[in-house]
Amino acid sequence: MPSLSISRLNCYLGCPLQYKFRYVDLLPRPWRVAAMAFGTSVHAAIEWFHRERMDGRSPSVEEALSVFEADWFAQNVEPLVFSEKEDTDSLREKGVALLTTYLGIMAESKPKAIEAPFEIPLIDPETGEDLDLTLRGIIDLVEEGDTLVDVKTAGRTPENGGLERHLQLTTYALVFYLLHGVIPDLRLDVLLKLKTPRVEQLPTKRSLPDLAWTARLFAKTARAIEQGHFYPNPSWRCTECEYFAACQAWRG
Amino acid sequence: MRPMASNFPPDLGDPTAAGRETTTYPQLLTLAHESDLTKVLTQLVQIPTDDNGRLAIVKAEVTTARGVFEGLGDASPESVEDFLLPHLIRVAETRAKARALRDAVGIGVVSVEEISGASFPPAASGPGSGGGSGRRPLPPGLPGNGGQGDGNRLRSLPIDTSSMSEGQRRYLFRLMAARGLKGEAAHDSLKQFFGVGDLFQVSKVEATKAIDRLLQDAGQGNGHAVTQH
Repeated sequence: MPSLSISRLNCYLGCPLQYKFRYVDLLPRPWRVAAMAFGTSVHAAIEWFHRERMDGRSPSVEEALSVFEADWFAQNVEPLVFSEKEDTDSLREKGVALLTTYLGIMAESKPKAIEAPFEIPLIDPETGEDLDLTLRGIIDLVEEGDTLVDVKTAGRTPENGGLERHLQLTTYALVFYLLHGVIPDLRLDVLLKLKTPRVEQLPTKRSLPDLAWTARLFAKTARAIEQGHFYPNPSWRCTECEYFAACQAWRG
Repeated sequence: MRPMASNFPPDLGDPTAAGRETTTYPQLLTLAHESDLTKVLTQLVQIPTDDNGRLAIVKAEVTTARGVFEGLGDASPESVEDFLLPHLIRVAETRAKARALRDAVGIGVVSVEEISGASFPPAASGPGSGGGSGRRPLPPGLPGNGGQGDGNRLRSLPIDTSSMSEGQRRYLFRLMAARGLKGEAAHDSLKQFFGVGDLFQVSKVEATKAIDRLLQDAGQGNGHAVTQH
């Protein structure tokens, strides 16, 4: 049975040709977008912080910042491409500020699971039809009371309707529903890389039709991938695509 | 052959050498039971994700009458057979247990499972199941293939020499931070440790051995060292 993760789904929806370069052709990436690497380092520190707490220890914010800084330095060993107003040091400073604020807020939260992997057969939640696909991925955080949380670093707050259409959160809800028969509460924690870094926690919900729609999206996308539908999707994202040169050479 | 730094464990040998004598997991397990094996624990250190090149890392702890022995195992799409791609965590676990078992029973040669994962049960039709239809035949003579009668014989296989993954590099820097070395100081120390001018010259296998060594040095008392991201 084929499988598809959320990140692969998002990659394909963003640009099918980028998907092919990354996951089918396995092209080496000549550089990496700094914003992606930054998000990974912030995630690493948050994950470490929660894991320590789940293991019964009392980690300090300073220790978590040490994890972030070591991780961020390691990311910069690889060539990174920064946006105009950012560089290694400015992002490090923003990371420290964001994590100090966010971990301060989260110190009272009760994590039930962190970076929880899942791998389940995809079923249409409305019809019960087996969609012949394994759905896999990782849930950033599950809090006591079964609130599923996705943590994002971003340059701005989600656009109007972005929270309601947030595919990762809908997928979390779909997985939870398929496993437990209940639609969970959801929350998007956005760590905003603004001049004055800010954290927003945005609760949201999903309906059963939302979950069915997403299940079908996964199934149809998997079929398109299987059938080799790989074509470019020109957009503003092309300027920060690692495979720009390969794309220019593409002739179908 | 690139020389290792002098403080590198002397019994590690040259991990980039292609082809060497090997043992097998079943053989190690048998020997461990003969050494009064009492417990085998494993811990998932890194979940394979697209961000870390789908590199799974598992730590194993083996307890015998002789003491407690630890080992790390990793698995990524580049280091396993195609049919094992959906089972990276389990391959990494088998490799970790094999490494810990080798130390426990005093076997210096690498096991087949650590190198290729090829003797790991082939992919099943659904998640979480073992064996079943659709399994791809294993190469002749490998354990689990049956009919060859030489599952415990030592053999030679090529070793993965691809560069260390991003996940390994990040974890190494975090381990160094836990030892008080940060930024360029950590970078310089790692390059000296591996005897290279650029960390991209370090293979996955070398990185795994270094992580293993640093974890052993750090013991269990530091959360920085135990949890990988």
